[in-house]
Amino acid sequence: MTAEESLGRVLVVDDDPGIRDVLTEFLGRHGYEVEAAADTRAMDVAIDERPPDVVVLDLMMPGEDGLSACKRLYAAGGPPVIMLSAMGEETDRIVGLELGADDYLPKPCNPRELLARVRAVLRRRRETSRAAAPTLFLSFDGWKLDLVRRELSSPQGVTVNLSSGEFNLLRVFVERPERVLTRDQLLDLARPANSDAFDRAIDVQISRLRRKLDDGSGREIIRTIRGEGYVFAARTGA
Amino acid sequence: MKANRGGLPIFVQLLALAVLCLVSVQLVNLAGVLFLPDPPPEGFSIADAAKALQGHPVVTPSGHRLLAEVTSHPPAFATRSLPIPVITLTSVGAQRTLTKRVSDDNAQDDPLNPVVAEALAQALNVEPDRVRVQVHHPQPHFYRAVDMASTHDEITRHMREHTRLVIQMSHATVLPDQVNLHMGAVMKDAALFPPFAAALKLPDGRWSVITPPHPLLSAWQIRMMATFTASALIVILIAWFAARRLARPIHAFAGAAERLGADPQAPPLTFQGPAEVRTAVAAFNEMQDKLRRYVNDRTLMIASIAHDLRTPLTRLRFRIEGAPLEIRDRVAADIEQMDGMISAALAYARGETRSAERARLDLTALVSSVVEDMRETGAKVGFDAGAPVLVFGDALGLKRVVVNLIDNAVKFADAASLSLSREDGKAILRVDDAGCGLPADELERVFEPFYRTDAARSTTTGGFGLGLATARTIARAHGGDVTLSNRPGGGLRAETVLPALG
Repeated sequence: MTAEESLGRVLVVDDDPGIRDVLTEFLGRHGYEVEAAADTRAMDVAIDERPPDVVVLDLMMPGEDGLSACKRLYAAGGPPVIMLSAMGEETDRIVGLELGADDYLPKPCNPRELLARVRAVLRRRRETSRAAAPTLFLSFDGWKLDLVRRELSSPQGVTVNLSSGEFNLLRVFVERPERVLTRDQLLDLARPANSDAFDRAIDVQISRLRRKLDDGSGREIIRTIRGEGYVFAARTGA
Repeated sequence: MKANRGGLPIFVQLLALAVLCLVSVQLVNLAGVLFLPDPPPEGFSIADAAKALQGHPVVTPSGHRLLAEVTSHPPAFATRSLPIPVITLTSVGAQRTLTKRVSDDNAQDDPLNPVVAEALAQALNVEPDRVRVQVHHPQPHFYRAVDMASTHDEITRHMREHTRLVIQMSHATVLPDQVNLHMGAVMKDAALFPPFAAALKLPDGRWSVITPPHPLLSAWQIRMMATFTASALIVILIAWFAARRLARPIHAFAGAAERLGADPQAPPLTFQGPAEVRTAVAAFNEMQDKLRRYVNDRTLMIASIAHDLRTPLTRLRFRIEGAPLEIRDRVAADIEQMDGMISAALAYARGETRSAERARLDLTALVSSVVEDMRETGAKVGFDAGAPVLVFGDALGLKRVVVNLIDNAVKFADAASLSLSREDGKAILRVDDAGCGLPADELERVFEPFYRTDAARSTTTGGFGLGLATARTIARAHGGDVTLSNRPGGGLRAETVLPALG
C-alpha cells in the first residue's frame, strides 16, 4: 500500500484475544488503521472516542451478543457492520443481514475475502449517502423479491426459489423497469465479477424466469424486443 | 387450555352407556307389552269356513286367506267315523247348565270336531254326514269344564282363567264353541273357533276341503320380534352416538400426537376429551417438553463446540497467510475440510431442532434453483422442471435436502438425474444416479448419523456421514421421508416424499 494515510479505520470486536491479534495484524498490514475491543461495551467506548469507518463484529460474545449490538448500531445510524461469526449457516446470515449488517462472513474465513468485503463496504458507504437504508425487498405486480433471502414470493404468497443466476438477472430487471436491456447489458449487470457465463445462458435463464413468473394470467412480464433485447414490463416499487 | 369438552372419565361414560342401553331396551319391551293391541285371534268362524267350502275366498281375522280345494278323494281326517256329541243346555232361572257327552270310542279325537262339524253342516244347510272337521291345536282345557255338568259361573270362571275364545253376550259370558249350536246366526258368524280343517262332500262325490293357514310365524311371535327389533335399533343408535362421542377426542389426540411426531417443535396439545385422554395429553406434553429441552441442549452443545472449533481455525487461517504459498494452500484446504465437517454437524443438529418459518413454496422452483446453482459449480445434474408442485415447508431446510442428495449422487456416481412429480397428494422427488448402488443391508444404515460406507470413507471429499441423516431428519420434520433403493437398471435412487398442498 502506497497511500500516505490509512485506507480507513476498522474496529474489530471479538471476545477471543487471538482473533483480535490476527485481525489487527492482518488488516494493519494491508493499510488499515485497526482498533480492537473485547466486548460491545468496549466497542461503544471506542466508537464514542473516534468513530470507525467499519466495524468487524463477532456474533457470539459474552454479555451483549453481536446481533443485538448490530441492531443497535444500525438503529442509531452508526458505522457499517461486517458480521463475523462461527454460526455461518444461511439462516444466521439472513438474520444478520435483516438486522442491518452490511455484510456477513462465516468463520473461518479467507483473510483476503475479509479484506475484499471491508473494501467493498467502505466503497459503498462513500458512494451512497449515509442516510439511505439498505433495501431488503423489491416488489412488482404483487410479486415480492427478498434481496436478503434471494427468494421470490408470488402474489398468492407462494415462495418461489431462484438460482443465483436467476436472482441476479431478476434483480437487474426489477431495478430497471420499462427499459430495453440488451443481452450484453444484462450480462454485465447480472454476472458476478468472477463468473464466465456464456451469452446463451441469458436466454435460458430468461425463459426459466418467465416460467417461474407465470401466474396463469398469460401476461408476459419479461418481453422480448426483437433484435434489441428485453423489457421488464411491471409496476415496481421498493 | 380449552374448556373441558366431554370431560367425564371413559369409565363413567361406558357405564352410563351400558345402563342407558339396558333401560331403553326394557322400556321398549314394557311399552310393547302394555300398549300394543292384542293380536287378532288365529281362528275363524263357522260362517267363514262355510263360505270357503262353498268356493268363495275368505280372509280370516288374523289376515290369512282361506281357500277350498276340490279333490276327488276325501282327506285323511274325513275317513274317520263321526263321534256323536250330545250337548244339552238347560236353564233354571238365571242358572244355566251345560252338558256335553262324547261317545267313548272316539276318545282320542278332539271333542270339538263333531260340534264344529254339526255347526258347519247347519251353516251350509247340508246333512251332517257330508261334513268332516279336524280341529287343529286342540286346547283341552276348553272342554274340561264342558265334560262335566257345571254351572254357568264355573264355566265362565274357568274360561277367564284358560281361554281366549270368549264372546260377550248380553250379561253372560258364554263359551261359544260347544254351546251355541242352537243359538242362531249371531253365534255362527261372530264366534271364532280354533283353526280347523273341514271337508264337504259335494253332490258329485268329490270333496271341497279347507285346511287352516299355516303361518310361518304366529301373531305373538311376530310381535315379540318387532319389539326385539325396535330395541336392537335403539341400542345400535345409542351405541353409535356414544362410540362417536368417545372416539372423537381420542382420534383428535392421535392426530395431534402424529403431527407432533412429525415436527418436534410443534405447539403442545390442548386438553380435551375424557379424563383419561386429558391425563394422556398432559403426560404427552410433558414428555414432548423434556424431549425438546434435551434436543435443544444437545444442539446448543454442538453449536458451542462448532463455535469453539471455528475460532482457533480462524486464527490458524489468518496466521498462515504469511506462510509460503504451497503450505498456505494446503493448510487452507485442511481448514476448509474441518469447517465442512463442523457445518455438517451443525446442519444435522439444526435439522432436529430449528423451528424454521414455513411457507407455501414451489418445490419445482426450489429444485431447479438448486440444480442451477450446482451446475454452475460444474456438477452434472439433470432436471426437467415440470408444473409447479406446492408444499408447505422451510425453504432452507428443503434446499439442504436436495443439495445433500445431489451431492451424494455426484460424489459417488459423478452425475445425478432428478425428477419431481405429484402423486396422490404427495410431492415425490427422485434423485437417481448411475453408480454401483448399495448392498441391500446398507440402504437403511447409511441414514444413521456418522455412518459411512467404505467408499465414502476412502474418498478425500468424504464428509462426516451426516448428509443423508440430515436430509431424512428435515424431510421427516415436514411429515415426509427420504428412502434409498437400488434401481433395477443399476444405480441408486434417493426418493424424497413430502405432503403436497392442494
